Amino acid sequence: MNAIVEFRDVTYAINGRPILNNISFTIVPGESVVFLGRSGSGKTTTLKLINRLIEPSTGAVFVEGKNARDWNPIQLRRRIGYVIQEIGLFPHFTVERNVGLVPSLEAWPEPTIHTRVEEMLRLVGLEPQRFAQRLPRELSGGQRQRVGVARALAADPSILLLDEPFGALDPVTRSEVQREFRDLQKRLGKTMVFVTHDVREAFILGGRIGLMKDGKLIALVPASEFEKLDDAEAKAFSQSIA
Amino acid sequence: MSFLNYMWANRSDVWRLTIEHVVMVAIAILLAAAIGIPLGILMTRNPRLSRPILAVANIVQTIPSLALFGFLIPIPFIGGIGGRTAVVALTLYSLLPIIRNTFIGISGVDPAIREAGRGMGMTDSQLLWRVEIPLALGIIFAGIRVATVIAIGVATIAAAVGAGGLGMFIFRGVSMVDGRVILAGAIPAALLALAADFGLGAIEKRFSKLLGLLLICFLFSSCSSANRIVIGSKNFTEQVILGELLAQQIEAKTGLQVDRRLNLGGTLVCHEALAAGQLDAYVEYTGTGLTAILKEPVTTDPAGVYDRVKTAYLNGYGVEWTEPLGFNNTWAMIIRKEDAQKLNLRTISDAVPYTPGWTAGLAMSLLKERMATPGL
Repeated sequence: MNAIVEFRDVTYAINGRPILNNISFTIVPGESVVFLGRSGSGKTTTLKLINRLIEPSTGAVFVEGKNARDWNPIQLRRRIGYVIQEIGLFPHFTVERNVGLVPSLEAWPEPTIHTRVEEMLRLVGLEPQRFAQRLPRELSGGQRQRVGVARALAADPSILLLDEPFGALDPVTRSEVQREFRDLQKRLGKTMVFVTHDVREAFILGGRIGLMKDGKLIALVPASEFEKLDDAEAKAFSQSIA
Repeated sequence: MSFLNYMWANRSDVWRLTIEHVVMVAIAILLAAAIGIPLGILMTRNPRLSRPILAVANIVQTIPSLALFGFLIPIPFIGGIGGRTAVVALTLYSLLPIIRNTFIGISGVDPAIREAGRGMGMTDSQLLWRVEIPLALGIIFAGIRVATVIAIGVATIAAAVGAGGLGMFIFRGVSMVDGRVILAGAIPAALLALAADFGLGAIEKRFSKLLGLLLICFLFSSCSSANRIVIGSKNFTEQVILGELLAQQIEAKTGLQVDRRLNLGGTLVCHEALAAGQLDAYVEYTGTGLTAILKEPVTTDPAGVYDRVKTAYLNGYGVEWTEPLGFNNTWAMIIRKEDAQKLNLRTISDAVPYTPGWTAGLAMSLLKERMATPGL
């Protein structure tokens, strides 16, 4: 199967200080990969290289078989859903306008956007009649996160990037949303790249888990094989849930 | 409350000058917004520009307002006496708060919101117009509000360059030593500032949803045309009377229409305006011309001084001195009668031994021109 995302010997450095060190991997369509690591391990940087918010210092990133450098960055980003921990909902937009953002940037007809927004809100478990006209500040943390996911899915992207999207939620809401999201992911069959420092979350969501430390990808293995890894960092993570 | 009576008696003047004041400030604020907001946005896109831009705006802000008005007079196109100079000076003063608030407002937008926008494929201009400016609008507007309140205060000085406004009352009141007249200018100006602060504050609260920049361009024309003549005067009573006499004579004896720019802020303002062609005539003193403009030492020969300034002005500024008006305007010193009797003083020379212990009250121009004081 052709890779939908591929890193070839990617290094990313700021002022000569390497953040990512010679990373290579491939992700196939429909797969879900979780990058697990401590703060500063380079997992967020990996994500931003995929939608070209940053560019590699050396090496190359391929998306849908095409070098990210050859993509128009605006077009590329509109084809990729993006959810960050702070969510970044526009506070002056209603839920409906937030969710319909990429479709409206892509100049979809208004009725199509409207229908799509309602569909997306139902998908993430928010009743459109109740929530579409609210402003982000009128939502709870969990509701905001669902709106963030709905917004990322609205233009039907083939790839979804999620940067610790559930990190700011309380533990009960978090496990609820995680389970819902896993079901959603299975249903939609989208390629998903997820970043977290929470090993439980990695096990719930990841088809494969990529362990990162100090800018290096130590291993990228199926979740079931993670605990068998002969690596100090992997053991440290495994033991943290025991 | 005698100033209320005075204001009521002069209500048409109060009203006219208030309108002049408001128009002057409104044009300056619109211009400052039209320049300052784009500059503030540019700074957020090019952080390296922010230091120099803010530094220049800061420096402009520290120039004393009367000095700024004075600097602008000799500059062609934007300067001169009248409304245009005032609008330019007020615009310069209003830039800093507007630039600064635009920069702070846009820089202050939550980075997560900006990252989400970029990550979803918004272009920089989409991010700017749909997200950053709407979110920063409240802060930008607060800057406009501060600038407006400052400008209403500074605009009272505009009367010194012949731009009118409520400062006319204040300057007139100061030279007449009449508190009622000062208050007739000061109180409406203060009320205007409060009203602007309150009114703009109310708009600010509703502003978050409204987006739109109103741009109106006014151009002040103060050029003298063929059959008009502009007469000026300095800002003390004698000068205002002389200027008015000159104007009435011209109106009576010629077909020319006279534009009066009386009560301008001093010798330098009048001279610069005359040399720049903004004024056609004002009454000047040969001694003042010699010492204040030509910077030459004092002499005591009136005819010699007249000849000297006549040639020097013609060569230096292309300005012609007319025949003298026919009177010698000199200064006198006033002291208390009992002091004069006690010390047996008849002439200024008699007073010289005692002056080190005296405190003198002198007109500003006298102090500056050093014509009378060195001997004492």
